[in-house]
Amino acid sequence: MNEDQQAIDQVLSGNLAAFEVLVTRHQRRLLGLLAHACGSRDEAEDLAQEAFARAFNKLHLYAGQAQFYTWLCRIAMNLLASDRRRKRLENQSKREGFEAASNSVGLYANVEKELERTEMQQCVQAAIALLDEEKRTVLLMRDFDGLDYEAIAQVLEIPVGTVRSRLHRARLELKDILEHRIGRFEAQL
Amino acid sequence: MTHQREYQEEWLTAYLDGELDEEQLRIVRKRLEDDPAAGRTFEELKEVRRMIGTLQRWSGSDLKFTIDPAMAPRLEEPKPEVPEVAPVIEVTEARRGLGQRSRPSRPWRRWTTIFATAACLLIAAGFFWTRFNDLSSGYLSLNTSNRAVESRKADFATEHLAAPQSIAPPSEPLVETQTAFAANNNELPAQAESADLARSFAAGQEANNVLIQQAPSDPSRLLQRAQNPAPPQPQVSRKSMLRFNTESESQATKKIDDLPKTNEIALSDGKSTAVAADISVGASSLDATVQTQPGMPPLPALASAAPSPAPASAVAEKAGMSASGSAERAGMSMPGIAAAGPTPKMSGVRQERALAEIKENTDKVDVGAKLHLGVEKETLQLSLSVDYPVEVDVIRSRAWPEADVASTFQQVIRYLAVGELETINNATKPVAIEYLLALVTVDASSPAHAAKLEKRISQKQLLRISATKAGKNVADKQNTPVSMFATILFTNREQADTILAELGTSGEKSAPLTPLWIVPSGDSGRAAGAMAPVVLVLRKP
Repeated sequence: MNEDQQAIDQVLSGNLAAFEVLVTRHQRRLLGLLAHACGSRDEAEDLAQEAFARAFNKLHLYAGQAQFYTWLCRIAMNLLASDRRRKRLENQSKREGFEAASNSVGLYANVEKELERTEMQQCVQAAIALLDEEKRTVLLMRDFDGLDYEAIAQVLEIPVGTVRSRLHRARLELKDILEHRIGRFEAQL
Repeated sequence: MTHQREYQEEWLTAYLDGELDEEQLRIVRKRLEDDPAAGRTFEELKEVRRMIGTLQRWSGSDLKFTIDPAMAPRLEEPKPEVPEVAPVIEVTEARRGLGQRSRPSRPWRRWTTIFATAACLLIAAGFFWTRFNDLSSGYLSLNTSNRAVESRKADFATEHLAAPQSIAPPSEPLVETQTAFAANNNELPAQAESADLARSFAAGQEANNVLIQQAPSDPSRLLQRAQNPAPPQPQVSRKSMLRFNTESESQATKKIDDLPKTNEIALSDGKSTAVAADISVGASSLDATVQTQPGMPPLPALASAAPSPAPASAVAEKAGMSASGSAERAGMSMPGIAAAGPTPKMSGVRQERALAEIKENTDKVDVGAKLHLGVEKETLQLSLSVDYPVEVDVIRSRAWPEADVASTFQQVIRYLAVGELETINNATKPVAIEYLLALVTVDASSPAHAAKLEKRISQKQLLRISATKAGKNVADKQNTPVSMFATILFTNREQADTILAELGTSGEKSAPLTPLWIVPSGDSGRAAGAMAPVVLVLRKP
């Protein structure tokens, strides 16, 4: 029995404090994923908080067929999707952020080694923000968070084949964005 | 039979991620050898993946996740063998009764179902019996402000319960009260003389206690008890104890985070009203003391509208009025403040609002969540009184954030400031630590006092809750504030005496049971028109 399952069993048997083990173990990973998925640290914190709260509340429904993190991730992604629907947020602000990032990168014209890591991160983050929600999510879950296709399929409730095709398109699209908006990317490749 | 599958470009992605089966793997490798374009695409995909991998990981702070028992998941089913005496039930019921919103567990649910069924039957019987007998000569209400308490009051385990010695007839009967009484007492209201309702209620609580302790395994036993109730045993003590035993110290420790945040149990007999929430935690029990205070007005009807309590921003402005009202009740004088006038009476609506606000704000600070047993426990008990006492438990652990302490005390000050609440000192926790809460306004003509106070605060000898500096002393080139309104938490009286003396004030201790301790300003400060510091003493017995 893995440590997550042990903690879950303890919670369900009345030791509610054992849930802290799960929070401690998974919070930073989830926060990182959500921060990039929604583009806001504050929002990521709110979503993660809510995801953990819901996971706690619904823990008796956790069947143990998937990893706890996968299950938690699914809750979080559903929350994110709901939040997006509710707010009707488009990428306007992110486009602005991307433009800013692109301009920033442009200052270093074709000298990748001079790019600060954070600037590269900002650039990639901004490019990711231009992807649609579906592609961005699957891309981050795979390439940032390291979930395998099966887990991603469970989280997003889509077939594995869809994960693969969506991921492929997301990577290609991201490459195009980086190429066209920065211009430097092609040379780098 | 195997199917020859055609190459798909997206297999490059799956190849990169190691998600291909053997046949797909072979096909992709062959493609990469034969098709340079596929090779370039593969390299691009790889680079994209690498770049995403460089994205910054979470570098922020951890979540401040607080486990809320009210949000607890459905717990595991109980073992088939349920003991006849089930202490766990007592704990769960007690905790829920003491303010927990929800803590489901299977034994609890099972017994709740049983009790609920029986209680409904008894309530219905009591209701009709009450109607038939037209019992209108007295009433006794058990009012709980907590939903959990409301839903579990029939399950309270009570060792003793106080009752006022004299009970005046109420203006009108309360059927709900009577039915609740019936449910608790397991006897019909008509069997109790109206003048002895309170005592009967106490006896009913005891009977109820027996029921819970013995935990009958089926409703028929409960009904049997209802048909043959235990004889009433009058209780005249003014202090009552609700005791909820836990199985063990470890069990108490494990569930310590479920300690009630705010809890009120209001008892009204038409003449006196008592609200109590004095809850202490032992190694193996939770004790709640109900203290009846005769002479307090009954809970008024929610008839007249009245303005809501003043906003928090009005604290400073109204502090004088607060002190005045409290001082009047305490029979003390307070130079410089008395002109603010007497404290207005609160209407029922206003009381309700105040109560709701207290509860709301107490929940916000999440008291009790980090409470520990033993010497680590710090308990601050604030007893706030409207026209009738309303007690609010504030349990503070050492790890409690300063901001939460500040907000709590600001809330206390807020209620004091609107002149509707006063403190009473009835802390009974054996490990309660003495606290002093002080409102200090430093003399405008004495920048030295302000400097001393600031120094103490900087040295962490005082905890400054809030401080408002008003204006600047033009003559003071160091820009010392000419006045400073500060709310300060002292940790013991000696410290307060020392510091207040240093500030040019002298202590004037009241009688031991007088909660409001007013320290008038010193001669120099009074001469300058300085407002006297107000110190609220909250000390262990």
